[in-house]
Amino acid sequence: MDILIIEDDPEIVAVVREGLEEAGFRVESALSGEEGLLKAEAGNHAVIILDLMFNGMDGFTILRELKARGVKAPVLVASARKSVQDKVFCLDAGCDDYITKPFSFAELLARIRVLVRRGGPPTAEGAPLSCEGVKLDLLNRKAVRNGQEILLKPKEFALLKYLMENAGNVVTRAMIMEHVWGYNFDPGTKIIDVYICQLREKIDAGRDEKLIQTVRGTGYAFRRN
Amino acid sequence: MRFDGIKRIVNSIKFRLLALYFTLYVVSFLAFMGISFALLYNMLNKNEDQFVINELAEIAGKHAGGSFDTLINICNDEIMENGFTSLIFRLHANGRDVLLPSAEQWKDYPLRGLNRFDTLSERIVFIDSAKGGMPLKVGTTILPGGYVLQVGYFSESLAQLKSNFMLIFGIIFLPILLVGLGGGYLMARNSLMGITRVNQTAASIYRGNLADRVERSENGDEIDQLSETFNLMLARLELLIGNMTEMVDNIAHDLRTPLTRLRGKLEIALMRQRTPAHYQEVMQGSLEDIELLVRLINTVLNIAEAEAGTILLNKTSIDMHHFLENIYEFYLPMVEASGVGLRLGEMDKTEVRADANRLWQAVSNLLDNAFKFTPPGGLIQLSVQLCGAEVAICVTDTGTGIAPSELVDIFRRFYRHGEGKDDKGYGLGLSLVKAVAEIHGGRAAVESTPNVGSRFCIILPVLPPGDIPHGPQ
Repeated sequence: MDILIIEDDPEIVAVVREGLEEAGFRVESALSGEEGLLKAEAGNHAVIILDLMFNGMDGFTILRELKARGVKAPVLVASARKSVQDKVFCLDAGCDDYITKPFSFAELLARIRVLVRRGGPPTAEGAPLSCEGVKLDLLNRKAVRNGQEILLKPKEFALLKYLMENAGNVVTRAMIMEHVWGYNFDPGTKIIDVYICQLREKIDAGRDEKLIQTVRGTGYAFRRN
Repeated sequence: MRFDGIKRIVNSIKFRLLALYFTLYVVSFLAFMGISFALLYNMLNKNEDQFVINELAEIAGKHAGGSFDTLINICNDEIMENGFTSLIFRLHANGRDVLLPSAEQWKDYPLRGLNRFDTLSERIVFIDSAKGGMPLKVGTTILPGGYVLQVGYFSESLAQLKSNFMLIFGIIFLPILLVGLGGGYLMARNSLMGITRVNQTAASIYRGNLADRVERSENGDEIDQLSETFNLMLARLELLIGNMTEMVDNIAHDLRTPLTRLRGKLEIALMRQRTPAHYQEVMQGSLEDIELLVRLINTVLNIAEAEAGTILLNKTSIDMHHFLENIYEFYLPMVEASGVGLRLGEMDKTEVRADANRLWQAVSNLLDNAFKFTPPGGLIQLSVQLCGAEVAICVTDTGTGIAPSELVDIFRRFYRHGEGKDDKGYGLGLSLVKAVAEIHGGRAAVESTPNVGSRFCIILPVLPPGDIPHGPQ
């Protein structure tokens, strides 16, 4: 899958390219708005990452131009501006998602995955979620590990579901806060950690294979160690 | 360009004040002259009319139905008495004029206009001289026996009044214009002097002299009020700039600490070859430091945005009962982890229009603090109470409490209360709470007793005054 990065800072391009290639994407980059527009039109990209603070052509202009030229690929805007206005303005101008610099790679990858999935076939609603021997029955809200039912409180269930939906990948605390509780801010560390801790007690305690991993400095991941 | 210059002058307040003053001054002067003239003229005119009427009455009385010759004699006597210059007489009887005594004095005046005796009777008419002499006032009366008597009076004083007025006017008009201009200029300059003072101060501040203030004239006029408001604004700005400088210092300090740690860790790791596990450990530690840095910067930006009032609030109607229950449930796991009890206190049913994300963040900061400062075995209570037009969302704890001397500073940025269980905070939580309360048109409050506990409240209006963002007080 191809990703196009339109960003004028070569060092950021290099870092993002390396990370995305590591995650299995093919990466094309453009250091100017004009170049970016040409490449976006020519190629068939899964996602376009656009830097908003662009010297020369304003990021918003590029965004509108992309849409005006009929580029179908979803656009993920990365910006150092953090105000809600910018975010709203950006979504109005047709971007598909928004991420604030400095972003964690886990978050960037998660957002790209969501955008890619949006273009792909929809997953069946209510289909059971199964991974690494843990099975979630979304209709009856039951969790089973290796045939043994685990009793979970509703929020614990939602938290496990979110981790499993992103199985193998890291999710940040802010992402958990946003998706499990529906509040959009960085909650600080403590309380999410407590939730994870309690979930771990039920999922991993007494088992050799631990599935909920702490990724220090970033967040958590559902995967084998 | 030249037209612009003229336009600028015309638009200046100084010019407009001057023009207004000058116009009013000249109009008043003209009105004064006009009214004086009219009054004097009217008075003299009446006097003269009365004189003519009296004269006619006197002659009529003396004549008292006598013969025509008697009438002539009476008129001659009157002339002798008053002199030729002021009075002339005309008698008319049996279709014949008798001009008494000097017919030539009548010659300058058209007699045709004086012949409709019946309509002229008991009226005074003005007749202008045909040869530029004085105007004549003529009264007419019809005496018994069908005799018509006309008395002409040379209206000397009226003519004099007119010419005197014209003379005076001619002499003083130009000086009056000059005085008007001068007065207008002085007045405009005086009333703008205060503004000039404000202007000079502003320029001085612009040049970098932030401590400068506008001098006041102490007479309490509007300009003084302007100066005072201006000075108050400057004081506020100075305070804000002071705050900002302090904040920058604090941020610099708080950035330096994790940055130093980060740099040290990385440098030490690179000093010699180490095991992959060691590198991993160092990198993970570094990532944690970076996370702290990012969070610190985001929080500071959030507060700055809220305090500047530029934040865009996503306000919705929030059922407080439901909202706080959610937060309560969110925090329940902390009870087990910390050994501190958490319960819901008084829960009034009420709705508030607010930005749910920011309000959650604020309440959650209060709860975080409560857990931080309450020893195991203590109790934290979350409540919402409706008091008149206000809603108080309160977090009460049985923690270490805050000394009265510290209460004043507690909402300040980067203020750290001494004895937290861990020392990870940046002292930004409460200033964010205050900023969030204030952008919603409310306030933050605290009461505390050392060793007994604290109670922090976010007080919001039930119906906020419009959706206008509120600046900090």
